[in-house]
Amino acid sequence: MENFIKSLKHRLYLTSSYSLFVLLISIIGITKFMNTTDESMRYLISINIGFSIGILVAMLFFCSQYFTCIRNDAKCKALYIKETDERACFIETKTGGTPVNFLLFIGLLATLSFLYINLTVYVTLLATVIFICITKLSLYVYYSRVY
Amino acid sequence: MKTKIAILRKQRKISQEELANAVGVTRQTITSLESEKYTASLVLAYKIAKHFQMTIEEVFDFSDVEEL
Repeated sequence: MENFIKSLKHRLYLTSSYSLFVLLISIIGITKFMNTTDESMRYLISINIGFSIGILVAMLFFCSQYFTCIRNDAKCKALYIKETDERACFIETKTGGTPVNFLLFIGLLATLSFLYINLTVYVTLLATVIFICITKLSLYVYYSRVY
Repeated sequence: MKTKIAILRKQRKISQEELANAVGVTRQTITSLESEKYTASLVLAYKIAKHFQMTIEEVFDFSDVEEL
């Protein structure tokens, strides 16, 4: 359990850092939104800010969950069982596991950033991230029913 | 794989949640084991058998396992 708490603290730092990056991209988005008059660009930026807010809310949820678990032993044990459950781990491995999750997190960050760099790359990355999400979700639903 | 988990659990009047907590898995895993959808790992099989104070062979039915 000691190692799990250490891992939670590590995850808390990672989640907070990720949230800071997303917040930074959102701030850039808001300033760009204020300064541009192009309606289509304003529309895309507003979508991007919406995505960023969604990610920030999710990160806040994870942060609060980890924070509660570090302080509360019962919740920590419940989360430990949930995360180390062998069937859940098996399904997670079947759906791609940590590499796909890592790819999604990095892909999302790259997608949000590339709107202000290159529109073609932005659209390609967005399509890729959405495709990975749909595939992972479909596989998760499928394997949860099979096993 | 066929198991006697559901029977043993009912005999001892233990809920799926209680068994799951005792062996460190989620309730869904116990449900999957009982419905023969999922095959337990050696460690989980050992934990479940130990919980019922039985051997692995007494809890899990290995007659379906193909021999090469």
